[in-house]
Amino acid sequence: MGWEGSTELRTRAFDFLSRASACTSLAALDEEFMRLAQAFGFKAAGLIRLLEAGGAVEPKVIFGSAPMDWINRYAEREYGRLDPTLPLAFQSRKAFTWKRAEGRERDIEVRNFFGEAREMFAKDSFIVPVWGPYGELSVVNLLSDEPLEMAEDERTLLQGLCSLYAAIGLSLADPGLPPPPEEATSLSRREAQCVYWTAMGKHDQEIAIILGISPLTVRDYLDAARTKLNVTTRPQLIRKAMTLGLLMPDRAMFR
Amino acid sequence: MLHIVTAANRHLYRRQLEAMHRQRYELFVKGRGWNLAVRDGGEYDEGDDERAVYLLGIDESGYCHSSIRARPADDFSYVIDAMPEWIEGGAQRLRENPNLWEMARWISQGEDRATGEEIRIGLIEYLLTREASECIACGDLHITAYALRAGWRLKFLGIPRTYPEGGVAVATSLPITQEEVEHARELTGRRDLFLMEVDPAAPWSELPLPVIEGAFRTAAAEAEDYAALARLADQLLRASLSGGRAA
Repeated sequence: MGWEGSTELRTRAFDFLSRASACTSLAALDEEFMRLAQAFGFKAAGLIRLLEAGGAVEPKVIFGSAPMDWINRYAEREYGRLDPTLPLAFQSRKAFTWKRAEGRERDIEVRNFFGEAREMFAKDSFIVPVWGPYGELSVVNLLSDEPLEMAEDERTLLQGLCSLYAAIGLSLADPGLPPPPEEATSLSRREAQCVYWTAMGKHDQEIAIILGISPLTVRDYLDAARTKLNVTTRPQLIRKAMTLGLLMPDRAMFR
Repeated sequence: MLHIVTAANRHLYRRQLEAMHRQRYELFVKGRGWNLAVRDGGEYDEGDDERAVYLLGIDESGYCHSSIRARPADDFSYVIDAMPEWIEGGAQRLRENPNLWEMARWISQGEDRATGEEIRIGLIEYLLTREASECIACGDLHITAYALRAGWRLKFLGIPRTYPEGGVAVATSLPITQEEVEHARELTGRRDLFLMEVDPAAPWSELPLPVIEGAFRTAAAEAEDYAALARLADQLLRASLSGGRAA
């Protein structure tokens, strides 16, 4: 399957990736990404950490550019409680725009929230969720002065470029993977393997075949994992596993 | 420890490789919907031939929990032969490098930090011994992002693209240099030896793999380089055979 879109954008995209992989500083990477974002019609771009695993929503600019007045107002007025882009960022594997988040929203507070944002700094935004190894959620946020209408292929390409920008940027900002939480090391290998396959949607019988052990043993390992991680249900176990980095590098495969 | 499995010692890892292929089926065919060949409950492709090398992480029960495949790309390459349009500037030019390898099918169940580090460092170290200079891949975006975040300084061969099964992937190249090894080791703080290759001609080669690995681990604590590691491990295992005890 190929992309039938603009040759110029494809060329710029490849140029960005070629230069980005050679960047040795965040400043250089940001400059390259901003040049790319402008080619796609955007005016600002940055990576914003929304929350650490298990933490409250506290937007923080990690790198790139972001409207700081808005970031501060967002925190002061606790807009995290009504911002519909947050649950979308949690649920969606795909990038989305304000237009989609707003949808047919009737709540006056939400409509005022978007009205305020549009008045302050942009007409629309392209938002790409980026999950960290331990459940931290960030977004690459691209701001536009025009409402966004993009072909699916262009959207997919841009989402991919944003994900790679975030990964390269984070490796420059904080080289190497951060250490896992202490709790992560409490599980045995077998317990971690059983949790992993449970998160992949397998039931005990299937996990038993994959691991070459009995279904009863699988159940024992999962029970032990639940006890060690202080959770009671399987969904809780999977969510906890995400925050402990047990599902890396397939983290993006799970909701 | 990371086990190096080649055509020469593959017969000693039959159970582990069967498990690996079954995991590949579960993850890539059933999990991601990839249109790949399935045989006896496992996923196999043209790259699983005599020239393939597997790096395996094996637990104390002998189960293979982590793996990656590497193979010379001079005669067959998924990226060059099956996905040439994914490479900007033409795929065939990559074959001008006679020391080109390709990696594929990276699996890590329940990310064990130590094994993840060993795969990321060990792949480069091993390929250096095989005189590779570059290792290409076409990886799903999330795997590529993880590899970048973890410290691999990948170069891009093309732009991200949607493949027929619906996922998004990108073709990349990993430089195989001593500098990359040092970079990976510095990021992780790992200075130990962890690559091991079972000599199929050794008298102890058919001992249980966890036993063999145990001897290599003990040897690794003393050895200064991989040649010394192999010698020390061999001594320990021969001694255990003649003493009638497991190492």
